[in-house]
Amino acid sequence: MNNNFLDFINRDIEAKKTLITNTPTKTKTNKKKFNATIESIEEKYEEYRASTRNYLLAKARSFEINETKANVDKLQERIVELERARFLLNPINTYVEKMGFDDLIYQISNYDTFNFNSLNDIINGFLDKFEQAGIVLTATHFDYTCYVHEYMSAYLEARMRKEDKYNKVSEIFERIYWVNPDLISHIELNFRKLIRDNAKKFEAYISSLQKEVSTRNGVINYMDCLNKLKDAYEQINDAKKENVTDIVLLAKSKQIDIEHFLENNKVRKAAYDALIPTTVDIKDKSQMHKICEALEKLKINIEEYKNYVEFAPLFKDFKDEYEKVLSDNTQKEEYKGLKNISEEIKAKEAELEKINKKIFGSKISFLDFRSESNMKKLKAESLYVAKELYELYKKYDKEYFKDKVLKELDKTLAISDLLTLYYSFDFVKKLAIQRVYNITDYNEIIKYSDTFDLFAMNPLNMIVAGIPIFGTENIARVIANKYRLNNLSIIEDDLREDNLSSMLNKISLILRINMIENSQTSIDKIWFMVQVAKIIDKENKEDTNV
Amino acid sequence: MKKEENKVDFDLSTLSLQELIELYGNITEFLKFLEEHKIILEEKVEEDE
Repeated sequence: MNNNFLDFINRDIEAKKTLITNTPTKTKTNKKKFNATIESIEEKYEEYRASTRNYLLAKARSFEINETKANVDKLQERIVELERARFLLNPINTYVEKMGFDDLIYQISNYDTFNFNSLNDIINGFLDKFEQAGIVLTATHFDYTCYVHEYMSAYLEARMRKEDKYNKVSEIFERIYWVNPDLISHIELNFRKLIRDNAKKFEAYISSLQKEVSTRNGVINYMDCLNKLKDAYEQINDAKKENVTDIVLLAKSKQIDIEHFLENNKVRKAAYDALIPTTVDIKDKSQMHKICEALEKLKINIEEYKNYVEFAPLFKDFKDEYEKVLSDNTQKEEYKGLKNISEEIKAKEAELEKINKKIFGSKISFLDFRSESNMKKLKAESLYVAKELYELYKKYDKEYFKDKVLKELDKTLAISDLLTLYYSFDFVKKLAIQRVYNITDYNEIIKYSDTFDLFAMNPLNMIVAGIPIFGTENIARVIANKYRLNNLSIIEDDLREDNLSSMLNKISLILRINMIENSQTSIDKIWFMVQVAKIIDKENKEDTNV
Repeated sequence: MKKEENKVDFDLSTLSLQELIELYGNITEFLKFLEEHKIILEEKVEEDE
């Protein structure tokens, strides 16, 4: 009598394999008999397989747990609303950034670098924003150079007619391009000038938006908005907190390896050895509760530190640039860089306007050679001045940010302040990313920029608020020292850049094991559910292949 | 065969979770083994012989 069906099957399989290998197969009759034997065994084993499979499925189903989670949709909506309010109420930047003009200026000024597909999308982006603020631009507004005027007149006409392909405009662009390859730069300058000239209208528009978001969100001011946002982030983090159901799903979808959770697994052992001192009894629930509380906090700190490390080159770049300024107080006090460059631009634009008036005002007689040659000269002159202006605007961009920085610059300026600065000035942030990381692909810059924003926007950041940009703090040491006090075995070296992901994995593993051990299920049951899921998955794949 | 089958106590509840998975794996592997060992009979050639 076989008490254990597994033993029986193992012995039976061995016996049948011996039988099969020793059955004669020389003659046709032998072969037929052989196949008949195999088919008979197969029939029996198909029965075993089906019964076992049903049993496995039923058992796995009986282990399923479904911990409900709070609906986070409303919380997410609240965060989106508050983020918009923060964006509009941000006291550091101006209507240029709040309208999103800095992003469009970044795109148009890098049009050649990144081979953007559509200049039209960028131009339409500018025009749309003007329209949002109730400003309708016509051809007369585009008078930076005669070529900008010619191109934009055709462009606006096509836009008004809602022509999809702007074919005629493309022809005009091509014709102008060979006379004036800087046409796109000059369109950019024209928009910059229009943005500045319409400052009051844009400010009024932003002010109306600020009032609207403040009322809708019950926000008094920027700081109030930040506090509400912090609460909302805490609430959503709590609601989203991983539970055992999530762990099961992660294991079933192979995002985590359930084998690592098993008691004798090397990875599990290494995680415990790395973080928990031998003096702690890991079987003692109370001791492990304290350890896990500390690990939860350490995990949050390491995630923040990991972000810090990723953008450390950006912080260093800033530090190198402004450390000199910081030591020279007189430079800070007397600095009038932005004012000077703004005046220079105004004067140069007045000069250009004079030339343009001559161009736009005169009528060329085709028979008058002198008049035609004079016009050519004037046009060449206007392009020369426009080129100078483009360089001045580049300087202006630097001075613009420097001016904002100098207002904030202080020995105690923290990393979190710099995060807010770069977050507030998208154009400057993207340029810094491009320069510091030497990136030439636009999508990659956007990826970095978005990751940076997510980091900068997080109101729950703790470490970065306490690190001065101009200080020499060893953050890894600070974190390690803090958590040694919480009875974790952690040293500075564990927080080396290339160790951070591994540390996070170890912490997550311990926390998840602890969560499972304190739940209604067990690691063995989850392991079993995962194996059954693998069986079903394999069957589905085989069915698809057939 | 029949005698042997009668001896089988098909009680899966006595198996641990690990043994259940092992059992299913062994049965599936063995079915694959059987499938691979089947002889394809080529009728014409056999008849000529």
